[in-house]
Amino acid sequence: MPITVEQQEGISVLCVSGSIDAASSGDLAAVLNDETAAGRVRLVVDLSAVDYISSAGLRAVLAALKAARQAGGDLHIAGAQQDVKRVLELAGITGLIRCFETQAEAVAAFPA
Amino acid sequence: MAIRRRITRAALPDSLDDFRAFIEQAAQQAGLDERMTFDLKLAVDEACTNVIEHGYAGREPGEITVRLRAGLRRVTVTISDHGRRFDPAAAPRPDLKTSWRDRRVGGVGLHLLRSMVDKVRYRTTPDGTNHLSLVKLRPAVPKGGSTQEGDSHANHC
Repeated sequence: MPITVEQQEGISVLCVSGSIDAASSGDLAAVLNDETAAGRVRLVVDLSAVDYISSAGLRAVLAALKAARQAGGDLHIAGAQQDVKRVLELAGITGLIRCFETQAEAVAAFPA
Repeated sequence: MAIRRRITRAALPDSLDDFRAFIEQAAQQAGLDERMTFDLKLAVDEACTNVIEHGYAGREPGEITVRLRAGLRRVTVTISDHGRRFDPAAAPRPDLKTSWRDRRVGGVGLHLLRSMVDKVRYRTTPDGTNHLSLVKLRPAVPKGGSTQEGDSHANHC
């Protein structure tokens, strides 16, 4: 499950690909934790190349959301595909986290 | 198409990929649609993750056997292990309406599992084996005809 991180106007954009399960979610949690621990708490998690996510992946995202908001930042989700979006909805994530169709929208939605 | 398949792997996170690939392949052989396949993959993944993280916690990881039986009307997947007894159907439901501050980070896996299937049944046998059966009903075949691929998507358009 490759993850890349890129800075865009003070926002950390994570692009994740493949399947996020209990075997791979630790990598995602570690990358997100590196960002929030370094004070980079404006986060976009781009899921457009993710075909599968289980509760283990949601756990990593929720932990990062809390860390980011507690430090005055936020986390946005971008590009979730149909199946992944359905999991986010069923788990009540879409009521907590702002989800956008594209990465550009998710980045632009942060206040300047 | 009616089929029976099984797979046994160590109760380790790295086996999850194999369990999902097994479901994917068996579902394809049974002619299940993409949505049913995804639902079964997620349900099986959550059940196995639970066994790995809790069933065998603090013990030597044992094995998990996943069996899939597909008939014309239903698909039954049974997950068997020798870990601690645990009935996912009896697990508390997470509060999904709470604010982000109060929201628990975990606890949603079994909720997803239950959402993905039509029936969840748990039993232990006298030898200490846990069997979790997940039942998913297949879409009804229209009278006097066979199902056409794409029928199930018709009302999404």
